[in-house]
Amino acid sequence: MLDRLKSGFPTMHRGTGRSGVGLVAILACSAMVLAACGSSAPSASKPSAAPSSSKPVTITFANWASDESNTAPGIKAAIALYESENPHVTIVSQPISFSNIGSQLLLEQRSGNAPDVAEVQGDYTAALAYAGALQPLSSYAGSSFVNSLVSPSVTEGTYNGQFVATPWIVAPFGLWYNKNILAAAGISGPPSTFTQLEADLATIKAKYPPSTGMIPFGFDTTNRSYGLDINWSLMKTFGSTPFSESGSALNVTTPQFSSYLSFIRLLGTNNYDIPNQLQGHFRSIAAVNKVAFAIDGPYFQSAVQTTNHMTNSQFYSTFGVTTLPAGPTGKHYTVPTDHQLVMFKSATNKAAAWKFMKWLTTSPQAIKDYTIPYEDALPPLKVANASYASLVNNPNFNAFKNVIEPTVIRPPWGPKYNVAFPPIMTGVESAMTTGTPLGQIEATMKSEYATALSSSGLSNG
Amino acid sequence: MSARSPSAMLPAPVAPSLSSRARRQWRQGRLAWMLLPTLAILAFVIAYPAVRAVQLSFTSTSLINPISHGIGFQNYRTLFHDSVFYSALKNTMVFTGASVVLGGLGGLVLALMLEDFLGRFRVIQTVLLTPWAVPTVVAAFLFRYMFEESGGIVNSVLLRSHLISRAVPFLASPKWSMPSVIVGNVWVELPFFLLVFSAGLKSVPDEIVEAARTDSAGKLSIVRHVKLHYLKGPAIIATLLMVIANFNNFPHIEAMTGGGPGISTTTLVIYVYQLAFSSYNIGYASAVGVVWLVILLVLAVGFVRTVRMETT
Repeated sequence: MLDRLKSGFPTMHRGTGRSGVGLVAILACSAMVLAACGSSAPSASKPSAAPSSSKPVTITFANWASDESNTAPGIKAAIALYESENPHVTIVSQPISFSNIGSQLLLEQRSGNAPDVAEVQGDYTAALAYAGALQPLSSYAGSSFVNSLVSPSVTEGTYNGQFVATPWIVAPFGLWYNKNILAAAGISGPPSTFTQLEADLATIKAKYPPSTGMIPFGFDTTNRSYGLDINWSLMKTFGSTPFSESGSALNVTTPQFSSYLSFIRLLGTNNYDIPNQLQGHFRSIAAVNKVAFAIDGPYFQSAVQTTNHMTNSQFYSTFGVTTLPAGPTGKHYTVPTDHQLVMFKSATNKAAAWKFMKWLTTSPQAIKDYTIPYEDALPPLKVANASYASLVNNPNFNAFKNVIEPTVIRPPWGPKYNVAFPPIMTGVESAMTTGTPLGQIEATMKSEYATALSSSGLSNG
Repeated sequence: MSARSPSAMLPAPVAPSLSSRARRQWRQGRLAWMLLPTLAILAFVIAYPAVRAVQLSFTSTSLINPISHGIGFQNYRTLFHDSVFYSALKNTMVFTGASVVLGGLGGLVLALMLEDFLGRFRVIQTVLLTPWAVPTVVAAFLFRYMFEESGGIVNSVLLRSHLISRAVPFLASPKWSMPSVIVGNVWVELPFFLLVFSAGLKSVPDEIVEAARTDSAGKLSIVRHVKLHYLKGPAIIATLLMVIANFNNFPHIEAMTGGGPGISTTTLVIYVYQLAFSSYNIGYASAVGVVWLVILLVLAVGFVRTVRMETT
């Protein structure tokens, strides 16, 4: 008894000590299990604070512009300029890579710590809209603002009848070509049909054998939604619509889709393109004049100039851009890759967030200092402001605005798009890299989509 | 004088006093309680995610659908008919098996070769260990650029030495992509085996090796009949660790090929990542993860039992 008091600790038998630890460990694990089995609901959106021009406001802005070397300095300067004009506002930029931003924003939204404003694009916007994460913008934007925007971009930012994403840059895919490479191969100009394109690719390959490192046709065929975005325009050109949001199966066992796959197989068999490469890979190679044709957006220019430090005039004399070639349908199609800005429902100061979004997308200062020089993309306004009108009057911008933009079609972005792109793009890569019969590839696509759809919880149709 | 028995010469054993026994028991009990913080952390880091994954595997949880339902064993029924799952499982086995076998054999050969290096030549062993210090993603990008069809150094060397007449699409061909990924992975992991086997060789008693030499045993014979016996234990443990590590090897494959072209290098961990963060299908991804966990547990239990049998 005296020893026990002296020690200050209760006397523990060996068995008592270990069984006590075991009991506590079991209790701890049980607590964890109960916590795990508990449902986790996203936090309710916080009430929007009444806007005050003097009260300090912090706006979190998730974007990939600050993650990429060619745009990071520009967006940093633009944010600094906005903060200097709005001293009570602090913009906290969250750089997230383009490939990860979709899933990252969804995770943040479910965790209850979504940013106030985010840069999104294409299927990412659709996913966030379907998840109910986005704040409708009509009440903030007003009809005059919406009417000032180019119509396709407004449509692209509208889901379920609600305007949820305001366009930031207008960026459809175009067919870029290196004028010097074409001239050296004896090709007078870019192809207007796929038949001409195939002939041009053969000519270029004959002129520039593989040992030269020349890539005749560089475009993205990776297994991601962006890969399907690029290839969607080609599929439509061949007259195929392999998938729709309301459909329950892939529509790939058609002659039109087989024609598209045959073209893809031609690219792989003849080494015209490199499979499974990200779009950014081809930009850096194009900068050293080793890519004859590339499918890319207007930002191709800034990526190339960041690598080779060409001046604008040097770039325009080297590279041209036109519509994607027409296929059997005789029509040209392209897909938009417009960058958009969205506001989350959980944003704490929605008025301040909208003011920042509006400034970034449509103010003459932001367009002149960021959108044009760093993104090399078109602003989303119908009418160019006098302060930057001369900057958008160049051969490539005019091509995008007058020739390419009218061919824009929107893919069926939505919940099923994320289920459809893996089987489609793995099938595309399989067509490009193997000799598997196309019919077998199409059947595998259908089967894998059916499996993925059944596990997704999305209704059929 | 009477002779004393040997046992009588030893001091009589003293029965431990009651207070020293109690002190010993109290000390052991206190040490057991000190494990609680570690157990709590392990419960949070291991138990919670595992239980949550099992729970999610029975639901239709999706990142883009705010409503999820319990769907029973639907995900598991889908999984057992999923051709991509079986391809990913096969790729995982090939990648893991080849990486461990090649890394282990390479590490063993190098350890045996370097065993007798003395003096300044021991720096060679240090140099051979440096790939282990290179971050996995850095090594993956290094090999990605080395294996590129146009401009990659591997093709350049092969073309210039006329071993091939046209560039090999190491990363753009389903036939070559997995071997290319394995080569890059072996480069990173071989130093681990080298380290383990080098340490194991130091435990071989010199007198046994000398005895073998005295009996006119050759070098190969000494390696086969003497040294390998002592390396069996370290080999089993290193193999188990590397099997688990390669089963879970995400950054290397994602950085080199992203699982492509097609699904030629898509392993289970790549497939789970794509399901969860590209297709946003958390429920089904969890089901694949649970099956993957069961496979790893079976492998781990098998190895542990083998180690116990070896040690007893």
